[in-house]
Amino acid sequence: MSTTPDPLRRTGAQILCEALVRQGVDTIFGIPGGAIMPFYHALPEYADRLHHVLCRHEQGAGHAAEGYARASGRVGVCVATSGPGATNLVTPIADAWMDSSPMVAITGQVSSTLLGTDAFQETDIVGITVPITKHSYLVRDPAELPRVIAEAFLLAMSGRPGPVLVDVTKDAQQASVVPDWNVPRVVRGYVDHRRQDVDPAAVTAALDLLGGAERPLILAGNGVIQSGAAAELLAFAEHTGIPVITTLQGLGGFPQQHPLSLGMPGMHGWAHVNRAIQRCDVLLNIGSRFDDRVTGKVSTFATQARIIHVDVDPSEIGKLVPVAVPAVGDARAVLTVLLADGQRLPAPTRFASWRREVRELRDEFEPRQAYRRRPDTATLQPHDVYAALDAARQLRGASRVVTDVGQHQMWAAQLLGWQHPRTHITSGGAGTMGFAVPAALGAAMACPDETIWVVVGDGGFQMTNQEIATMVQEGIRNVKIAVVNNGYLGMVRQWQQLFEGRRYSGTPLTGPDFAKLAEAYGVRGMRVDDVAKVDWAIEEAWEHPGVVVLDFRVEREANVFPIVPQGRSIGEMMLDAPTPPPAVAGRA
Amino acid sequence: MTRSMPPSTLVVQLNDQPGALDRAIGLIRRRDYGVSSLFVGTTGGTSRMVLVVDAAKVHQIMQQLSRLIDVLSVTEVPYEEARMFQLSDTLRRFDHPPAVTPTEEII
Repeated sequence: MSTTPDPLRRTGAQILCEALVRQGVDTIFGIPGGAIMPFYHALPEYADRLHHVLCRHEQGAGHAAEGYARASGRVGVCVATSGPGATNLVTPIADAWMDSSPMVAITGQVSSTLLGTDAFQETDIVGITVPITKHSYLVRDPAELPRVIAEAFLLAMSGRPGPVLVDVTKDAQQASVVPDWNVPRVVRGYVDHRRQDVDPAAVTAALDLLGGAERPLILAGNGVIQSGAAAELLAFAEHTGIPVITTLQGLGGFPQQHPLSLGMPGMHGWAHVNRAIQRCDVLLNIGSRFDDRVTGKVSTFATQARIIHVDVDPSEIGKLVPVAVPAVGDARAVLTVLLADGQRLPAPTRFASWRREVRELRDEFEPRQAYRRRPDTATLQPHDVYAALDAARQLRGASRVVTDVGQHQMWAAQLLGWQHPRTHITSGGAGTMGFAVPAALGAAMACPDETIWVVVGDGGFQMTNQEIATMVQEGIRNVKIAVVNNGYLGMVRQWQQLFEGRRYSGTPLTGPDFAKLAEAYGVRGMRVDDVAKVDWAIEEAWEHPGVVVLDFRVEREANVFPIVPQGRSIGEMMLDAPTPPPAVAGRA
Repeated sequence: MTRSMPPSTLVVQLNDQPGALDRAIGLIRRRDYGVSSLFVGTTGGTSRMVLVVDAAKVHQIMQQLSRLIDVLSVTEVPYEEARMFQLSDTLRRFDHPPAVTPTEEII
């Protein structure tokens, strides 16, 4: 080349790295491949600012980005190549979409000249992910990258957070331009409802409804955690004396040790919580979307209640449940406005008899639920694992728990205490088995000084445990994995037991020796099948300076109770099995 | 649509970009919203979509369309105004296409 290159010229790949750094990104999770190679070629120049975590599967990279986002409140970033690399991200993208996790997924794409020709490793990932992203971009011109990346992060993080996909052709990564970093901070056609003033009419209507209520309840969801409204929720509940229930994704948004905390509603919520919902006359939903796992048969849900729905996404309001007072805005903004009108809020004395009624409901149902927490049996019950883990958490302080999907997840939600936002990380809306181990990798990167507990079933663990290798390569020491191993795809088995006459089709499950598997990965593994050793094992794991896998061989046919059968009213809970299952001798 | 409520007509302004229309139409399909007629046109930098939908679902359809970044605005046209377009009357012409005689017998 005879001409002197412009010193300000950068390749698209360099611009992409630079754009990520400008967004404050310091950690990315990914796997290279042909169409994303130029980006990986540029990465070493940014190694001091952008740390790349090489995952073992793109699904792992995606869930790691989610775990990072959920633990930190920042945007999680994952990177993959075109074709199968990109399609392997589809599950975590869908998961982030359902749980409103801020994520930017960057994928390489075949060169623009090959687009649409069925080229090697070409898939239309933008087309594939349209239904599960907040927005997506196909970039063919490196000059667009500063604007596109700025927009992607703005969209992922603002309003109702969610995943954004940026697909960059290989030639756009290779071509050089002088980047223009003066990019607009607004996206045409996009309204960030966090930044809009809360409608005063909605505030007045909400205050009127609460002022006239006899039996009000607060239903707190993910929106409380995402908007950082835990302090405001606590102040509001204490100011009014209204009891608070927290959804699966709202766990930690309100301290469960607080006297106003009732617990979790829904399919595996506590019976007294569901009864309280069916009796309340005003339901203040803050940042929850009336998922069917919360409402049960929706036409029978909270039929006595007039509903105030606070949500940052207007499309959620009135989607499933008729709402008396719609309040668009993020949870923190709306609670702040309501608290500012403090003298118009009802005083806590007003609901004393309602609180007494709720307490009586709790007293009526809690004894049976307490039994479920620690069944009096000699065999190792899942409940023993949770009791020990919860005791250790209370002693040790700062820790987070990442769960997968299934029975173990519901037990964790029920049996562990949740006091702080972002300490409970799970796959809710999508219900993605295989979420926990890679999400814990992401959470461990985000919170290196905290212990990250994984609680996972033997089914989900076998889907993504390869990310333990990533943890080892990264030198991660703060992840402790408790496998609640019952040799079944347990939740499906439970449904087969309860509703399909114990026809265990496709649910019995074998696996390798997880302790040996752990050792093969170079981490510590322990098998625990004795009740007496549970506390010791958890203490050992906590103390051990490295990743630990605890293989808890639990009672195989333990069930999650209570349960609302699918499609039934939350008023119709099964508190216990109709007949206790016969003991199963030995293991498969 | 055989409901007693007259159907609703929506005018949707979209970014004139590849894929924008695809996103809007895909949303209507996957959320199972029925559409009885649909027009698409381009006007100076934006695309315009006119669709006639079930009035019972119109609020939710408007909210969901508004979530799309490529959707710039969604406006419901009052029933009387929409009738002036006579969209459905114009289209009815195509309801009875000429009969096609099969050229081959399928055994």
